[in-house]
Amino acid sequence: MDSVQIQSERRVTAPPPNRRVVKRSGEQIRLAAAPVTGLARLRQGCYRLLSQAVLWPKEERLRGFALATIEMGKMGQRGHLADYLPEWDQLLGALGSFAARQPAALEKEYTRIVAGNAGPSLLYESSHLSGGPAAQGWLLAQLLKEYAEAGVISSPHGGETEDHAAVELEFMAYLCNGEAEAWEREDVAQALRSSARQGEFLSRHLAKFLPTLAQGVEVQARGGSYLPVLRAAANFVLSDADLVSALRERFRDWSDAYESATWGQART
Amino acid sequence: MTLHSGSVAIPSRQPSGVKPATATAVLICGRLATGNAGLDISRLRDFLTSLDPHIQVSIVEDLCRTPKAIPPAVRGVRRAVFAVCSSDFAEAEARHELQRAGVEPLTAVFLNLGGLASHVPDCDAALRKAKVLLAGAVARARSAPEVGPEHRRPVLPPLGQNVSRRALFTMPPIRYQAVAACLPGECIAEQGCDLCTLACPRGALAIDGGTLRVDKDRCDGCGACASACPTGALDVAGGGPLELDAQVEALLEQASSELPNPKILFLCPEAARAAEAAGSAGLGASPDILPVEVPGAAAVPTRLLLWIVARGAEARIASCPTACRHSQTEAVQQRVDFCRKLLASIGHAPEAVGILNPGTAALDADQTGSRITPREHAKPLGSAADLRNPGIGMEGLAGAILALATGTESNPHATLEHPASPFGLVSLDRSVCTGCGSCAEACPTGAMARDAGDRVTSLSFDARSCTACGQCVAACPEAARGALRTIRATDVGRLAEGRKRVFEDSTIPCRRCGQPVMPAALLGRLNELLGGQGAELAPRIGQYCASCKALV
Repeated sequence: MDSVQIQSERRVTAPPPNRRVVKRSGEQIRLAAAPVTGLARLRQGCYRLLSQAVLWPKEERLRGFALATIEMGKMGQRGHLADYLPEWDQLLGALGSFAARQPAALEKEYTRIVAGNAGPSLLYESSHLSGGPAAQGWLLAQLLKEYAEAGVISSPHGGETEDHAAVELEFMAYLCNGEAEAWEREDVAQALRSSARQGEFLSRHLAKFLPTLAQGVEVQARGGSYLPVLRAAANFVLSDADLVSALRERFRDWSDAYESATWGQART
Repeated sequence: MTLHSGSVAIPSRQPSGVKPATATAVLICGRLATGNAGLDISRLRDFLTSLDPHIQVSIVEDLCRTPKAIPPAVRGVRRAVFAVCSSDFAEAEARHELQRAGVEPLTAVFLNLGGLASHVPDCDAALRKAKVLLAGAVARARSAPEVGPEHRRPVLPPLGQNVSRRALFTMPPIRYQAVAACLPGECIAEQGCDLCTLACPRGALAIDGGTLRVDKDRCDGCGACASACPTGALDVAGGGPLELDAQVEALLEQASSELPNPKILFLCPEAARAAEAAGSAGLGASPDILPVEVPGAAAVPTRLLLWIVARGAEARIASCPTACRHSQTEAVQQRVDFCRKLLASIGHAPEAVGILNPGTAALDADQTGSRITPREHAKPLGSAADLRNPGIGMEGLAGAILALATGTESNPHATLEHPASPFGLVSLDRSVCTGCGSCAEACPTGAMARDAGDRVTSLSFDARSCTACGQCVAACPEAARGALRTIRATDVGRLAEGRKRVFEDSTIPCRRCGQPVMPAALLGRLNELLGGQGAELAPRIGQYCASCKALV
């Protein structure tokens, strides 16, 4: 197992997975089986899958999607990670059903309803804003700024604008990846910064946008293959925003200590 | 005047929730058969299956300590009821197992039959009480609405200062706290209602641009907002108005055949623990006290207290053994005092509603300082008549009061002015009112309404919808002259009357198109205000409508 040298001269190994109770210095600490890294990775996978679901339903994309959904299901069961995502069953069920659809039928539906043959495309956050072009421009500028602050720029060869649902969901997957990597190298400060950025992005954008998108598709589609996925996505995002907030609250007393110190220094 | 139920027409939101055919699992702890009086759990099982064949009953030995036994017992169901032998059971683990099994944990009902039923000395009486309580718990679980992210908030324990490195990098067990959630279609915040924000003891609710926002970090799900909402737009998963209604209805229905003198007791978790600690000296030993657990005492709406009395039972709220953590003690006392005074004014025994000490099962001494003089010839508690639940919200409350007053020799003009009155009364001075309609525009519930016809402009008032918010008075341009006043009072006669016209005046028509321009009284007032300076202008104001003015 990996070991980490810390300030107090005590060699501590990385936590073993699936360990229930650890007795330490007479103190009984009850642990859940889920490492924080695993949870961040699971959330990353969910966001990535959802991002793929709202892109054009190419056949090869759907094939990969089906396999990825199965793997995600297994990942959620490991260490009871799904306990932390109350919308897990709904999400997995919706993604699984979606993956089983025929591409031709999905293409029709995507074109007719979701991509906006009947009106402005619902998949762009800007199309749900009131305030006209000025508000839309402001939104795009804000998104560009937020992406740049996280170290991301739009690809010049990419097909979608910054406010497309797929791009925003992929950005969340990117942030979750950053958080997971920070936990893996035990950089608590960076993990908390990433978590803060996720919370802000969710509250400013996805937590408002996705429920509106799902409602819009419900009105236009009155059913269809995309509605369950979008509903599940909206509920997942709302729950995830609460989870991120709860995680940050848990580390509230530690966040200042970790701004510039190692774990060992913070303990003394 | 005798009020007849035929004069009442109260359409309102009925408890619907999950349809009765929804599969429900009831898990009974096997230790209930051995503790205290010892309940015959096989007869409980038979009772439940005869109540509804869709109920899946499982008797689990030592259920309280073996949460792992839960998933197989709840396979294929959507709701779950746990009949446990004490409050010392692994509730958090049980909720985890429910979530893993796909059953919404916030809607699960945990019924402490060990503490609340098995202390009854007589075995048959204990069994009867247990049956009634189980029927109520099943109804409550089934009526729970679908739970979404807006209904819950995740809670993780804080890290603290002394924590191991391993604990730092692993997730602790998560639990979910029910919080208030708003049904957008029912909420009238956009019309100016803010009763929920005033009722919330934690400042967790705010109106933002006509939309109600719930601060989940502050909300602790006490339910005070849900009981204050005039339209039933607010819900708390596991303890909302629909669930409480369904449970009470089922308790009363079952008790009518099992118990002679039922008392419905609402108790918060702290009071429930005090009741259990009192053991055979507390309410657990009483055969006819039927506990209903609520998130906080203020979650019990006035409507439900009165409806219980209308159905022939008594209603109690348990006093908190410690200082109420929701700061609701005074609000609850006021609510009970209002109910008692109202009952007295309409000829019922006021002691049908009271506050009860959970440790001793005795009525607390009247802490409100009020004097209640029962009316002469006060009618005793009525039998449980064939009354339809009038539903939640203001109309449901009016229905409950009118059901109580039905058939009694009530004074139709009695007005009970009380700070806890959920209704208000508006009085309008016709000699001052101009019929402008500002009050109707400002009224969030539609209690004040304006009808601008071709010939007649009228204002009407419906006492069943008035919440005494005072927005009509604030909007009235003639309020300083006493055109409109409002008091927080309940008038049974006005409730029975329904909507009543309170102002009427002829409408001045447009000289060009004939459309209504304004009431004559309003034009007269404008003339007064303009006086000599507007002598030329005044006649023209009343001659043309807004569209024709531009053309003339």
